[in-house]
Amino acid sequence: MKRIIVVLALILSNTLAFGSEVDRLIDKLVEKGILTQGEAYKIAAEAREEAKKQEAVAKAETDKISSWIKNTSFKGDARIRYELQNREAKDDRSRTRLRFRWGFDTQVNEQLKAGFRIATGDSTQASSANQTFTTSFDDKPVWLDRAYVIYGPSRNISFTGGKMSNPFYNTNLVWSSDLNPEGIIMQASFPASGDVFASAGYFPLYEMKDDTEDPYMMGLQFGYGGKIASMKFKTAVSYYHYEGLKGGTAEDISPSFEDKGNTLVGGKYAYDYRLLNFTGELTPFEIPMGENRLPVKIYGDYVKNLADGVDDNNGYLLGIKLGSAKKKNTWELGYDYRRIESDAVTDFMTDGSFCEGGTDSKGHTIGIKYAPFDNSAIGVTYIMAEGLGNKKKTDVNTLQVDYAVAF
Amino acid sequence: MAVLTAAIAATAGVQEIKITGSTTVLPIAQKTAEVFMNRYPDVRISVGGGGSGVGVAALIDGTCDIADSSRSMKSKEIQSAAAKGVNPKANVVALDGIAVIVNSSNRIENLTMQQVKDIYTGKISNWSQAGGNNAKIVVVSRDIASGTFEAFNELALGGGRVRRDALMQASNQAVATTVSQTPGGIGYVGLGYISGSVKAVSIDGVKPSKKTVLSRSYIYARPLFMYTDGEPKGTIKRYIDFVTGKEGQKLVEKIGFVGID
Repeated sequence: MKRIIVVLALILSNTLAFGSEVDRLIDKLVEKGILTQGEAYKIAAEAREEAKKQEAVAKAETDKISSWIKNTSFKGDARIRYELQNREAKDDRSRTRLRFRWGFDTQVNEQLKAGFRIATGDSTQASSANQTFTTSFDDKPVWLDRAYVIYGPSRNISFTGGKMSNPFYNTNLVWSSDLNPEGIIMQASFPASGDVFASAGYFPLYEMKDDTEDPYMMGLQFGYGGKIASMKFKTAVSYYHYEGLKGGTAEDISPSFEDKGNTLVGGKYAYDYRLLNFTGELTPFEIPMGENRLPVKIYGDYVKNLADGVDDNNGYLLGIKLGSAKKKNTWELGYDYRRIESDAVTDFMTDGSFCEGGTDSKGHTIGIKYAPFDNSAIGVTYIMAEGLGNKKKTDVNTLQVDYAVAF
Repeated sequence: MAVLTAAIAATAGVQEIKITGSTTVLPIAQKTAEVFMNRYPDVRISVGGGGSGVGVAALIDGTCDIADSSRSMKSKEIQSAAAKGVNPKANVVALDGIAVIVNSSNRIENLTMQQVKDIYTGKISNWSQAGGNNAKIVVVSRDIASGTFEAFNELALGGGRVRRDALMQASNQAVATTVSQTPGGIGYVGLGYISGSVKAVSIDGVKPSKKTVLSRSYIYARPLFMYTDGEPKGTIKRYIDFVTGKEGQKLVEKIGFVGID
């Protein structure tokens, strides 16, 4: 009898879908006199407990996975670009390039978040993640593009450390959109009537092995975004203080951009960089078009290097954008004009596509994009850039044909 | 800690079992431990109460060998046990019907499940609304830490909240005593605590008894557990086998619970 009970208990304890059928089976065994009512009760109750335990443990495992998945968001994008450059001082050039980026953000707990991204590109060129198709199909490297931890003790304040997405509101006059600064930053926002935001950060630029006076940048930004009637706007004033650049060897600090517009003397930076930067945008209205509404955005950026003795120290950009090519069958038109003098900004952080990157240039950029599917766009951009002639920059006209997918 | 104590005791030639948990199961543990230790002098069993939650927590923390519980372990408890490498095994040692008791002077003989729920959640406050005399109902309940409270809450109230003015008591005996001294009182206790000073009422026409509990016709019934970490082994198995065996079950019945043999 004892053996029958043990076997029955084992069978039932492995029956997760415990239900009335099992109860009926037990009742039958009681009826036949094989089990007493007490034994039947005990077997059924213990089997239920075992089933409940297995279910709870399995759920805990599932919850563990699902909570990790729930707290993690993966993001990536791929862009294939054909580029043709017509260069005044050099032969024309054409190339096909890939930019691939993939990473994730995960909410570690209520206050901590960590993120990571890898990307194609060149290890010596922070301002671009493009990888040219070359050298007969050999494998292409990927690099650590971002890796950071964000500590947010409250909703309105956060501290970020690591290699991060650009924390400053900007256009690509001062900062390339592919550039991911390294350092620490505190960011605060105050949703009063609008959005008041502020950032303050420290970013090391180069580690000198035999000296502690390493070059670094400190950035401060205060901004405000809001709405007046149906007009949206955002504006910010920033101050970027580069310390230790003057007299520093450009080849060390910025290996691939040592001669892209900043004034050098004997390969060393001739000036300090104390950049005062005003950035703003205005979305005055939207144009109805079928089911969509096309926002019109006007934006501008002005930068001045306040350091002593710098002559070519101004830069500005004015642009307009119509529409947004993100959802299926939407499109976008854009135009900007910029002028950026030799020492208006540091040349290793600017847009790498405009006049082959750097400073000491001016010109027009016009582009059109169309999204044949959601999160996928075909784009054509034409950049007419000319050197300001003060240094070594010459005219470069660039045609870019892109196909990009975000996932 | 329980393992360490057992190891020290083992070196002294005595094997120790530590039991803690439900106050409902406490008399079963105490009586069976007493008889078992007389039978096996090489075994020392320490028995404590504290409530089912306390026992389960102690098993999870490894500070007891057996957790007495008058309710089934909660999913969260099972999960935290698993996280600590503890594999709780439910050993049913007795059955208990939770009897709804009233003062012996009350003329009420039967209540429906709905009436019990309404009385405990505050919808009914006078015995006249349940077919009794015009008298205020004084609700007596177990404190929220007890397994009996949780079992009654689940079986009778469907998770409903006990009215705020209920008199919360720390033990079955205290509930029975309070009801016996309060003419308009109503309470609930394990079958073992029904005495002549209170009256157990039928629920939906079924009297709480061994027979109705075993046949599952009495609705407020529950198994009583001794949880172990995994299948019981060695001295713990000897003790559990004793409790669930003929001799142990006789003691269970003698105390007033329903045996499972």
